[in-house]
Amino acid sequence: MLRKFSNSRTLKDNIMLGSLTAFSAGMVNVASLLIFFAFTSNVTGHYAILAAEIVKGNFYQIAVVFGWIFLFFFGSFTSNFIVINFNQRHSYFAHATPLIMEILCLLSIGIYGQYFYRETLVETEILLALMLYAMGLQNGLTASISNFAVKTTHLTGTTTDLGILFSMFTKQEYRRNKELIGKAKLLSMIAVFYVAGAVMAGFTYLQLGFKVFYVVSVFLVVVIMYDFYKLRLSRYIGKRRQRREQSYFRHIPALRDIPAKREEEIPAY
Amino acid sequence: MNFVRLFYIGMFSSVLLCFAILLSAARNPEALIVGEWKELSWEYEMVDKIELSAEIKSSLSGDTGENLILHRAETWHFLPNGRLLLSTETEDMVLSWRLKGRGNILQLVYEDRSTEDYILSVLDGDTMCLNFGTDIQARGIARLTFEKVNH
Repeated sequence: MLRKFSNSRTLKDNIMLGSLTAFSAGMVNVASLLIFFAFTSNVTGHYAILAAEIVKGNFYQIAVVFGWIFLFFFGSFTSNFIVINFNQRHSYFAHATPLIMEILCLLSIGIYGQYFYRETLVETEILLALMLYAMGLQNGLTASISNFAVKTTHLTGTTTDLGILFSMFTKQEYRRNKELIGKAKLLSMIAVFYVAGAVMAGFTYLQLGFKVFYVVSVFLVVVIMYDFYKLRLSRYIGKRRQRREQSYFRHIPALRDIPAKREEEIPAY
Repeated sequence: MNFVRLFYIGMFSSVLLCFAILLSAARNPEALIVGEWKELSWEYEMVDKIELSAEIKSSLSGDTGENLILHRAETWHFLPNGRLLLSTETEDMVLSWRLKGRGNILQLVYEDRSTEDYILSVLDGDTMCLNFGTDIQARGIARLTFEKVNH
């Protein structure tokens, strides 16, 4: 899910990444709505609110909403900054770092909310700001590594694209186009998982309260660990194959002197 | 390279500066709401467009929430410690209050932990308007208007 970059990603990679991150974004958005009365995974509404508050001249609300929008932007900026600067050295860690930062943000919200939250306005606004930053990190990462194919924190673009795709499928020539079918599958999965996450958060919020952020973090850990496991597995398989080849070549005198492939030559991703 | 670095540092510094200026020019709604407010009116916003009969009005108030208490001709005294004193001629009631969202949602918490949410559509030094919040996307159909008693 995280190791591959841009055009080297398969549809399966994008569907897995998109589904899991959309699920967590749906959960975060509904949790923030139920606890703090504000959306955090999309900023279109915040732009409209910003305009409305400018018209009313409410400086406090202008500052707060402006800060939230900026943090979503800054989250996306941070993600892509990490990806483009560290991708060449170690792509897995470059792609996992924004998710780790997101998990840290969500865990902080969960822990603070569970043990320290006194429901003051400043606390509410800071926690919302952290959530918007976390969602910016996630959206920036998924969009960046998937060549802008996967955006999971809001469904405006997804719904628009699905509308376009389904209208294209009224013509037979487009129904046979595998790329378009793959895109429709990806977008549908994102929408379905986002809604599933939102519904799950809605149902579990009453029982879990702020602990719902731990559940979201678990989903993100799954995304990170899945690739970590695959990475370890591919290295393990690479080493086993190398050992088997070496033991095989030992029995063939003509090939015995061929130098074995060194460990650092195995792609690290 | 230096120009690019300067551009980014300048851009982020300007954003922080704008944020700081806006915050310093504004009053925190939590500070603004503290004080005594006299309830002036309790109206249904649809009345502007359609004349509602008393029967429809009562059914509307029933639909908006079973826990909604119709506050009429009360004085609302918001204390800085998050307590709210509701006073009528006959009785006093103590609740908790808190602001949510960007300071646009007023949540009242009763002793039995039931809550009532209002959208704070106007809050300045003299006037406060609350719309009973039935939905986060909708403004609510019932509107309470207050004027500040003690400045």
